[in-house]
Amino acid sequence: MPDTVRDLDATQRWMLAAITNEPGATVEPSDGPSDVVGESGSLSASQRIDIYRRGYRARLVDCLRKTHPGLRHALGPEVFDAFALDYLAAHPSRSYTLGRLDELWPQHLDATRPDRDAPLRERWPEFLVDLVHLEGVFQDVYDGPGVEHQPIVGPADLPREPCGQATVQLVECLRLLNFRFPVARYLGAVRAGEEPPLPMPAESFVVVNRREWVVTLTELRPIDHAALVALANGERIADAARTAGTSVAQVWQLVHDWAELGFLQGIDQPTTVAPLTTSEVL
Amino acid sequence: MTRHRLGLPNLGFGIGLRSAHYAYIESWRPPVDWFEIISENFMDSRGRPRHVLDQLVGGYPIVAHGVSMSIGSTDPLDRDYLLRLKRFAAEIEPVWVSDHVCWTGVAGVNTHDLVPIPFTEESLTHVVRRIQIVQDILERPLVLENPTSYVTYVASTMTEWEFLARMADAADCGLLLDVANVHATAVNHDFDAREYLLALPHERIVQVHLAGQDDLGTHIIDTHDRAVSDEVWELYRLAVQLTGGVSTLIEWDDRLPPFPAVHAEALKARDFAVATLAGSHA
Repeated sequence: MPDTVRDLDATQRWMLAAITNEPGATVEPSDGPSDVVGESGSLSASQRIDIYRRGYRARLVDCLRKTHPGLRHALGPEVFDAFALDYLAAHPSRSYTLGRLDELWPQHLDATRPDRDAPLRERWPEFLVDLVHLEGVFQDVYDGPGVEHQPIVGPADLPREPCGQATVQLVECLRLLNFRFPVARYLGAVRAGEEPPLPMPAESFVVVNRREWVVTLTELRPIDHAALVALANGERIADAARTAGTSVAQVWQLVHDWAELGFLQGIDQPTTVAPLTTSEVL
Repeated sequence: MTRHRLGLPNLGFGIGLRSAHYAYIESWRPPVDWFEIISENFMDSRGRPRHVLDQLVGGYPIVAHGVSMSIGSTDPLDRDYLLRLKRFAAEIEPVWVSDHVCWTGVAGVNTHDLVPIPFTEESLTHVVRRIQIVQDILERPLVLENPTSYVTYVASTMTEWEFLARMADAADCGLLLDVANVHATAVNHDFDAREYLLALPHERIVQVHLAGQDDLGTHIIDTHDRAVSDEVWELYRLAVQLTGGVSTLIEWDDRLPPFPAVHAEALKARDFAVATLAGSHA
């Protein structure tokens, strides 16, 4: 650092600590507020710094409130704010964009669960981790790349007869997730203005997608999820059916359903198709 | 001799583009002179925010107003951010790019607040050098705004208006005069707002901001959550006289009313400016 900005740097580091620390915390170097900041006719140096301290917390907690309505509903407003402040204290923003403010929140919640080292763990922290993870993905899909300006595959674009040799491409914005709780149902209800009760543990499989700028949450059956994951990995319809333990006909029907939901960007069918065996179709 | 407003146009009376107004703007294409966007809300977006903006580009003049350049920080300039901003500006072709005379973070942490810098020779040299670097990277002039200030630094050796005037001349940049911020800072630090306005290099003022504020008695907070106060309108009248009229924008972020109410504030600014200039020329 050039000598010319050494004093400025010291002042900024002192102010940063004063703004981001908890009220009353010791700020190093141990200059008092009045050594750095002047008083006004009506406010002391500490009171003036407190305006920034309060503003810092209010701004960032409000940002997390807006992007995590589900977690806020689950915890209640006061506990949510306490969780948010705990997260921000551990992981202050290091990005120019608030869009990344919550990116470490799932890991933080998992790392700070009260029963982390206990031999028997409670399940409710997993619900919070899953929910905050889903809400982060929701925001990513909302503001990330989509296919609104590109053609996608609709049901009418698909052959009527099952094509086991075909592969499909999923739309760029689609995310395949699985959770330990039915968090998509819970978040969907909260976003719809409902008051859902806290759910019981139950594995859930979720597709987060975007159509016409609107983010959609679709819960899948485990077998359907397995087939869609296989297709996302580039497997042919027939192979995906085997992976998921179902039939080509069933996967083909799912592909039609998913085309209806806007999951498919494209479908590749070989020009010479080997005939499917009866067992593959069924 | 400085070109008036750096050769940039008077766009008239604009409004800050906010997500709550997207649907109204898309439906009605209101007759607003121009829109200002928060650069960071759009520069990485590939979702609906960017879609809405893309629809406005070409139909309305757009100004890109940033909050994360941190021109006064002693941290190195964020070149990744600057290159993204440059790329974004090349895509949407804003009439100009602006940010604030402040620091938002140090030591890698971003407070996402506009924290004032001490007004010293050291700060001035530092900020001027960084503005020149930014202008070289962006290949366009930078326009910088006076933030609201709630602290003064013991180390300061000059007034804010002297700092801004010397900064603008030395760096050959433009000024975004936030009249509401001048009013709030003047009340908070007990100086004459008129003296501040009179001392600025008026030919470098490219744009004016107006916004509502919360007067708490002991100090004023720049809340952007209500209509412009009478005191700020009076100060705006002086700004119009001194500048001869420049692009003026209403900032409204919290407790946002329907679009027509914000537009009415912009039209009120127009009426103020027209009446002021008519009086000046009478």
